[in-house]
Amino acid sequence: MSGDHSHLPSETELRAKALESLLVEKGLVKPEALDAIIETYQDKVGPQNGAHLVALAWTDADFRGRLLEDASEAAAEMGYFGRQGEHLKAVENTTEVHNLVVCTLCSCYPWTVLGLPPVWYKSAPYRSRAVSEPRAVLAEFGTELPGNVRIRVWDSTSEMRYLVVPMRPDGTEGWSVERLQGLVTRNAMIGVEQALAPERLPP
Amino acid sequence: MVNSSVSGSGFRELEGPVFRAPWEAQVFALVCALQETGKLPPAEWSATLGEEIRLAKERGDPDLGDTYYFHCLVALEKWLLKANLAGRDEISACIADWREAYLRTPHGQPVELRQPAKSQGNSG
Repeated sequence: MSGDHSHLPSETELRAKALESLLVEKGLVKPEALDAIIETYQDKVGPQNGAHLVALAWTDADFRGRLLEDASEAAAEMGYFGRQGEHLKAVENTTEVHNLVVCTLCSCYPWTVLGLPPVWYKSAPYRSRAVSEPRAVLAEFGTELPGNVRIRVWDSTSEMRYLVVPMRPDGTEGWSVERLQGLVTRNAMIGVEQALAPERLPP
Repeated sequence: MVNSSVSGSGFRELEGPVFRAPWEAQVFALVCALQETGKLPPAEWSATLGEEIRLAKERGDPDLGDTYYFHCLVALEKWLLKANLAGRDEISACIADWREAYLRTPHGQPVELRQPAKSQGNSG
């Protein structure tokens, strides 16, 4: 008899459930660890971490030096630790160079400082076009760069993740770290956009 | 190689929630947990996942990012098999058990797998 039983999940959901129960049964993962991971990514880890590092770099030359020297260390200093032992490298935009981050293989992403990747970052068109025609990709995000600015594309790997340090927008002299942080979007730290201009800051 | 034919859908239209269903978060958490405990070395994972994404595209998946966690799910199954941590039959049986558990559980009650006969669990 059907009709009275629980709603049958899709085949995909059943496969995910089976994977989890097998891994738990074999002692390869702990259920508490899974809950903790989801909670962390929901509440604690997100682009606000990266934005904090960028805003600090904008206001503190020493910190900027440390961030560009060894971003894993500088992030750890602020309490943002890599969970999988991967290295983080900060790449700074200048008037001559604009940096763009991609993972052509499988969507590696700097989780620690940016949280979970957006859908488009994981898409085939982004993964291939960021390399083959980065300027066109930037244009689709509404980002126009002067013709003399060189675009440097960084292909992430399981060992190396990248954080773009966008240029500090004009008209933000004297701003606090907290206020500056609001200008640093996730997309700016992937490199598909610039940091927000002060007038674009939501009131 | 160059894949600009799919550009009809702009990247910004591909925005959306990071997880579209609970199972996606579940798969993500499994991968994370296995990496954190060192059981799944990151390089091994990115190779396995990269290969699965390549195969999915060969099968005609436009791969617009919305199937990413499905690729992770399949890659994780394949890794289990390759690492000899589970057998194909074992995985299939577990999926069947879950289906059966849903069909057997009256609506509104928590769905649980039938507990295997191991009453003295010594966890920790």
